[in-house]
Amino acid sequence: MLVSIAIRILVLVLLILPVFLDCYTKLLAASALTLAIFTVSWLYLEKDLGWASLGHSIPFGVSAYLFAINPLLLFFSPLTTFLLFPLSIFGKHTFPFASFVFSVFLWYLAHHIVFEGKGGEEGFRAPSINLDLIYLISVTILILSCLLIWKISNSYFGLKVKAVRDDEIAAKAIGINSLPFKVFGFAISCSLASIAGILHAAIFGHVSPGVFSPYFSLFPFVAATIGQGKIWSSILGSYTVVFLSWFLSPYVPEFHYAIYAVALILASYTQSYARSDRSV
Amino acid sequence: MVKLLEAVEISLTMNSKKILDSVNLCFDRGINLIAGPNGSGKTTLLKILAGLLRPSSGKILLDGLDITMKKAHERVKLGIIMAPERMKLPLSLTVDENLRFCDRNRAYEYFPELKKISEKKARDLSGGERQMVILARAFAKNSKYLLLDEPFQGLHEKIKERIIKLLEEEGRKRGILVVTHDELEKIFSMSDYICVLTNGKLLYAGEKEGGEKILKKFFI
Amino acid sequence: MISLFFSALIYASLALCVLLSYRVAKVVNLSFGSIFTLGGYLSVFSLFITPIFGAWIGLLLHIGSKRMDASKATIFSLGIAIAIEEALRILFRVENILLDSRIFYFFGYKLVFEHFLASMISATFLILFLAFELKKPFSRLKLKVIEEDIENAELYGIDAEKARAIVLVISSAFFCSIGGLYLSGRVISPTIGWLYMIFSLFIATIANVFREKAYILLLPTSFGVCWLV
Repeated sequence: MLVSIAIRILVLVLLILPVFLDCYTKLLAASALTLAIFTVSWLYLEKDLGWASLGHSIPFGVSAYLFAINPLLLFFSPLTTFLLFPLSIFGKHTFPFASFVFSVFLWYLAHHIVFEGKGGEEGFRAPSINLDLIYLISVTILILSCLLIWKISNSYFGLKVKAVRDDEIAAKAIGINSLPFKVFGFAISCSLASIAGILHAAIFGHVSPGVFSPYFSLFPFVAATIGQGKIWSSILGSYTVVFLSWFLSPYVPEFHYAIYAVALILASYTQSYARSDRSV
Repeated sequence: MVKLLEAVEISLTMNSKKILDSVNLCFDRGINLIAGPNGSGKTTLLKILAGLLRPSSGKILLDGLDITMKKAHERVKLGIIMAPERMKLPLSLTVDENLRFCDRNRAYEYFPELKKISEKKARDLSGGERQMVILARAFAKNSKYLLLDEPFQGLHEKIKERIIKLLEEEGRKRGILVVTHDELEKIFSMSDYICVLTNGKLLYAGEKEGGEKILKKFFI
Repeated sequence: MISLFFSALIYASLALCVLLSYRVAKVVNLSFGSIFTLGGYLSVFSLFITPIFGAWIGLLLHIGSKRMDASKATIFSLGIAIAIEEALRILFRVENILLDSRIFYFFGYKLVFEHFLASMISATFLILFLAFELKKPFSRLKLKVIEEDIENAELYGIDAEKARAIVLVISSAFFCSIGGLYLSGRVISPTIGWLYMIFSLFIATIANVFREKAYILLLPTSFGVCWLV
């Protein structure tokens, strides 16, 4: 309990502190913040719906690209649900790998996306927004996302979603049509991931094919593994990965991948992976 | 005297649930019947003896040799053969290919009807035919011990009778452990040794005469 | 056309490794991409060490994941993949390296010798496996039993763990060697192998739809996919 309170306080400090710091630190914090929203979106899909995606960069990256190509296209970003959701036909055990492979496929495909002579390997310039403003927006969205997920998770609707997660056939037997709940759950998760992608594009003012790379595909999984699947700890996990990677990269190139490797290997030995399997 | 196959203080806990609790058994040549209600741990015990599951504690001894850490395929070489339930069979193999894992000629001797369907894939067989292939493979392989899990599942009455005869004959040569709900009375009358399990605990283990009351009271 | 033929041969053999790992070792081996890249980097020193390193990684993968179910073993393989990728970054620092190659002429076609060699090795591998598949020796039957159900295979007296180790070691060694040859003449980076792995996985997935005929239909599938791409 004490640890849990300490983690929450630490997260709040991490959210507030950068406001008073220099631009460079604020940019770093904003980046960690968007990835924390991204992790929260992933956690909802994994914990409440039981689908562990290793290709969550699909809604994240596609929305970032749409926003960069034309800011008005951001309204289409919830439709990215229909890129991820069809992969659920592979079943819960194959879905993580199917989504990962699809995200890697998009990573290569993104190198060939050219619009009005721009794009390709260079990517697109995204509309840049004032850093202070975008930071405040990001903090607000993170808090709202947590509240939204908490509210849905504890509602009557959320109970039905969990019933579908635990046993689809049993849920059908008590009159719950699983499809709409699954689609809705995917839509919430993908929409939040899309918002994170858009914020990421707006913060850096640039989108490249790298948004589909394993760095982003696996980020929420790694952050959630560090945070042991708890929402506040996973937000802290996101900050840990971003800060460690940023500070240690001059000494160890792309240090985050070292964290990823350790997290993935450890996760395969512990119960950190497929937590929702407990009742399936 | 060293018994052929022994289970010493076997316990198994899965997901903090005790499936088997300190089970002590000694099996010898002849028919050995393991009885008990559904969920009592009979199949689990067979799996432990066959090496498919490792007990949480306890030992398995074969002719006095500790084989607890031996895997299933190593136990096959040592002479412990198991015929699993639910018609578990490699479906992409033909009947003949399945029987290449034992003495084929002997298998066809035991079940001549398999010759007619020898080129059929296991996937295209009926439930009864599949069960015949499983039993043929088990009986036609030289072994010290044969573990049969629900051997009469899906079989025609005539074939059931033939298997009972086969059990009688083979029981003289080796040890046979049978877990069954079908034909329980017949198997009981043939048995040399009986053990009764309930909720993972051993209710009775010993000669047929002593176990008759318990078995009849609960199951027959 | 000739380069399409050679590429199809190589991808079919890589897909065969992916399929064998999936069916026998019960793991979608996501580390193949990094093993392929590792082969490329090792070829800077010597081509002969590539299968040895590949085999070692295959063995590591087997030992590390032998008690895991399919999902966890796949996650483990992904961890190994990223660890190899990061190790390459740390060891080589420079992100992109241009690998040497030798050019020769084959019936008037200009070819990279290493690519030609890779396709010949792949063709030999495919022919040997095809003969193994069609002739159905007892060891092939054993493999089929493992493919269907590991528990049943153990009851048939088959050492499924040994078969798993052999498959992972051979397939990793093969990926590493082919990586060493096929990446010759290209500019390589630590992430280059993902593309080859995804492409092989794609071909293996399509071939897997044909169930028992999957191994036989790998080559036509590879031709079809390479031609389309």
